[in-house]
Amino acid sequence: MRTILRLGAWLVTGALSVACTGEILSAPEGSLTGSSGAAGSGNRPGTGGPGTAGTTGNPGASGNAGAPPLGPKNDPQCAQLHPGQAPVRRLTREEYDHVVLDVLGDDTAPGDGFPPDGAANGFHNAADKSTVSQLAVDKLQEAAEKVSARALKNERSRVLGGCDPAKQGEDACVTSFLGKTGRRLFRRPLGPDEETALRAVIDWGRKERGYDKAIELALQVMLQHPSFLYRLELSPDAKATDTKGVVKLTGYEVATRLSFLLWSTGPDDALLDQARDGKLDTAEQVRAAAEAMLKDDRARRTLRSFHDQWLEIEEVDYAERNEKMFPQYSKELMTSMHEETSRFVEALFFEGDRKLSTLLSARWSYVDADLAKLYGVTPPASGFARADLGPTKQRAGILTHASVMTSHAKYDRSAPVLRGRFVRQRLLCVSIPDPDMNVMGLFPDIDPTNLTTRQYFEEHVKNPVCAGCHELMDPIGFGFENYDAVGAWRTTEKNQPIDATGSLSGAGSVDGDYTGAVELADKLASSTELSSCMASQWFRYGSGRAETDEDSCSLNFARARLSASGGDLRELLVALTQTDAFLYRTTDGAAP
Amino acid sequence: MKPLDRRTFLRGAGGILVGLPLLNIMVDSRRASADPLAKPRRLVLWFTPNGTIYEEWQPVVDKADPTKFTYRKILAPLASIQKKVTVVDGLDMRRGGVGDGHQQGMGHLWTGVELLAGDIKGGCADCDKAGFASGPSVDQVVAKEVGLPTRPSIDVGARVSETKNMWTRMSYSAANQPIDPEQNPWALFETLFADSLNPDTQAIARLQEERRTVVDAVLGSYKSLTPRLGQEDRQRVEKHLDAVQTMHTKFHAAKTQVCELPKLLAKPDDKEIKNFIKKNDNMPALMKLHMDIVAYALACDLTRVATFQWDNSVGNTVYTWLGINPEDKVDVAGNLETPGHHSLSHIDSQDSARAHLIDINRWHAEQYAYFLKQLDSFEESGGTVLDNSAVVWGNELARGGAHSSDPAPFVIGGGAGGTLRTGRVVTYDKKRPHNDLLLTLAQSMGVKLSSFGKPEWCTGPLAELMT
Repeated sequence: MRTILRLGAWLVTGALSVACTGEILSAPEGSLTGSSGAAGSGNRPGTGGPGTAGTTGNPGASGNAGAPPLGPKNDPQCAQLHPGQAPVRRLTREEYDHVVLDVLGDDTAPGDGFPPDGAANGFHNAADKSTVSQLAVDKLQEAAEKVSARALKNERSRVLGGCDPAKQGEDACVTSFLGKTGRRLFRRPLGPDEETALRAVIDWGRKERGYDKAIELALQVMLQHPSFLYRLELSPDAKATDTKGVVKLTGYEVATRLSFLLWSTGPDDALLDQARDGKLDTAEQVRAAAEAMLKDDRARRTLRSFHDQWLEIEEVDYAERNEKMFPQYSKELMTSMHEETSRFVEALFFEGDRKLSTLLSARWSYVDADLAKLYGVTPPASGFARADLGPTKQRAGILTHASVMTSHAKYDRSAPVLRGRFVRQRLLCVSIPDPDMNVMGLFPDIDPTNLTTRQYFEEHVKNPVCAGCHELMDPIGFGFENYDAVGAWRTTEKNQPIDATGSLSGAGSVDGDYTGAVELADKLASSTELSSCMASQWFRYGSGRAETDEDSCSLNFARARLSASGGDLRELLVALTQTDAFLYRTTDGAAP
Repeated sequence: MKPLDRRTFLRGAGGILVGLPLLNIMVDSRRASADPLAKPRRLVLWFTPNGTIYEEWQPVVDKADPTKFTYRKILAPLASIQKKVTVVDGLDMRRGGVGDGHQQGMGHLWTGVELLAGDIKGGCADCDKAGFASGPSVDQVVAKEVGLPTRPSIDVGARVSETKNMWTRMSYSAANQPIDPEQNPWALFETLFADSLNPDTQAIARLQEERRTVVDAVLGSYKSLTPRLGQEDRQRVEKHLDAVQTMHTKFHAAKTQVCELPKLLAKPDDKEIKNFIKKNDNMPALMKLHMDIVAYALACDLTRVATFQWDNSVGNTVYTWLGINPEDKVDVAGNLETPGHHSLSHIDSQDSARAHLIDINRWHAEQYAYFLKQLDSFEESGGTVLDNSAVVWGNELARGGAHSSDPAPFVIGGGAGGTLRTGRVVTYDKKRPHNDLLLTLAQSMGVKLSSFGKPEWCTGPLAELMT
């Protein structure tokens, strides 16, 4: 804690916001030279969103980990409702793809061709960065045409809500289409004005083009409609519960939040029915729904999406490596390592103990033949299979996954600075300023030919100007030196033995020296700071924004639940659905 | 020469198909038919990052006669088309406000305004966190004022980071509203030309009618929503509304028109496209695809404004095709780096890095020359498409190592419909801010403005460039 607070002070003064290396600065580029593209292009915007260091260092944030759960009910400061902000969120590319698959059976992933979603705080679902460009709107129009045409061709009955115009009549099937598919896409029954506008399109279409084309055109409208593309929480009958304008979300709005948080898609019919029937009106009901949803396969989507972004591995598939130095490198290996992490996380949640400590220190993972070779274990008969990595004594949890190591490495070498920064920012929630190019020239010329990567970077810390920031990253990152640029284990570099001793700071009681990433992972596994940060990261991902002071009751509640459950990550996710931030919103004066 | 005279288009529109393959293409009917001999003026912005080697960029020029000059190494590839090129030397790109050198350079380059405060710390100890630019870029101002309402601009790029921030976006429709460049040339091709692959003009007319029906309803839905939103939400969703409005205009104005098609590389498998686009070594191929498509789109008058963004500020593409070996690491301030563009630019005083940077910038001059010649190969109203265009090459920095912004290196290809003088080197000795160039460009396109960007940074049009 002391370290964090000290860092916070440094950040305010800016006295240490300097660095002497292009290690980070040169990161945001393409895959050849980037750590993998992910650490590069993904890192930068997420480095230190507003309040990152301050909130984490907030006394009480991590200090109550062992205390009884605090929540709106039993913390006097939290007696009032504190929902925080709830900016309107736009469907991400990924969510769009999931919805058209789930609702219309379209598996072409049209969102792949959309321009990237805006990122902040390390997640690319940030509400305040979600403004669309002309290109995005043009792409949405093209996608709407194609998706609608395919849906009518391949999934006509589904589009019409199971209605058969030949038997039930065309008019009845229009009603069925609007009532069922419309409800799925808008995540609530259509409003009267919406229905009128869509019926006008259908009437024109039936007159001019025929029945199916009429439905297709209406579907095009829906797929570009703000009620589909934006998660609007404008319930017209919402009543403020207090003078601050706090409003309880409607059942449909809760269903939508639950579904996007836990499934990365819109709610299905069953969930919408629950909303309609008033079965999502109490926190207990929401808890029950969340628990059930986390046992559904669709939760795998959220797990993949979150961990891809949190661990900065989503671009690892495009990493390029020096094939002479790393003969194991192949495009297929990059894809496999990405898949490994996803399978590991899913197994942890669905079949494992779901514990944060296991996420960090599991001695097992999933490998295919390529990864088995990389890790030095027996390859599975086919495809991916669970493997016991314990005997190798080289691997522990996500930190040593080839995907994470590769994503935080460069074309031809490991990257201790990036790895150290990754641990600090993504696991401990402490932001580190980007380097100052004005001091880039301070470093003395040295001949790197015979130096190991570690020896080379150790030079940074010798210069006090550089040390200010680098001592926050490099001593952590050095512990990963056993893993090369594709995450393979090595014991020598340039014919010198690897020195994998490191020093952890900023992680509270587990601070101190260690040797190798396995020991580091085991230390972090029991770190209160990590646990606290984990809650923050899920909060940011789930809310599409950084936490603010208004969220401290919500966040502390989630942290306390995570801690009280012995680090059960499923409990963390459920706890997030029980907070003011999740169940309420504040009206900001807009006319309903 | 590819004869693509506008009169040919009109004959095509009248039903006579000329040449193969031919496409039907939507253009604004008023412009296409009312004044076939008019000279549509076009603005193209062309960006390469990380500064240049100024000493090899600056031409040797006779101070008494700016038409007497010799290009040095970097601009030498322009020699074969130098009569249609103007080198604008010595402008001062003003700096101020939040952000570091790269951030400001990228944000100021085409906007002439400061960055907004934001949440991204640049590489500097004493500068505040920055956001996007605080005003529109000149391309979008021109697109809005005098561009085609049907397709105000086409914005493309290669090697542009997926991450949106002030380093990676250069064009702005308004304050805080960066434009996303299209990086997939096949998608661009489809967007521009796909409807027209259908030779059945009746079918196209029907499709347009359907699109109008749909876009009317979509537009209505945004119009009725936005007043119900809180201020911040409304600002974001209104941008969506604006874009739907542009689409609405496009569908309502469209008529069919005939154009010739660029020939493209075979399209990779859909699953491979992302790999192809992200791969470092494919930058040359991607650039050529984009250049060819945009050249045809401009010649066809599908748009009058285009932007090319090749890589982004601090982009670290390794120019392997110029013999730069990614294994030959370079020592950048004590840090072993792959010899990417940005890494090299930090050590531009070292001989080997300097030689690479000259090669890189010269190679970009070759690409720029290729594009100018493409435009010059289309005849139009007694001249060429290039004659009616201004293709402006800019960089967010002057020198990479120093992160300096002056003298800012600019090159203009084409005479903007006779409003700009060409075949010369104009030198300003840092006495004029680059906003003056942005103003000159806007005026040459017919936008009636007396100042561009931050008023304090604009002193008036550059008379030396104008006819």
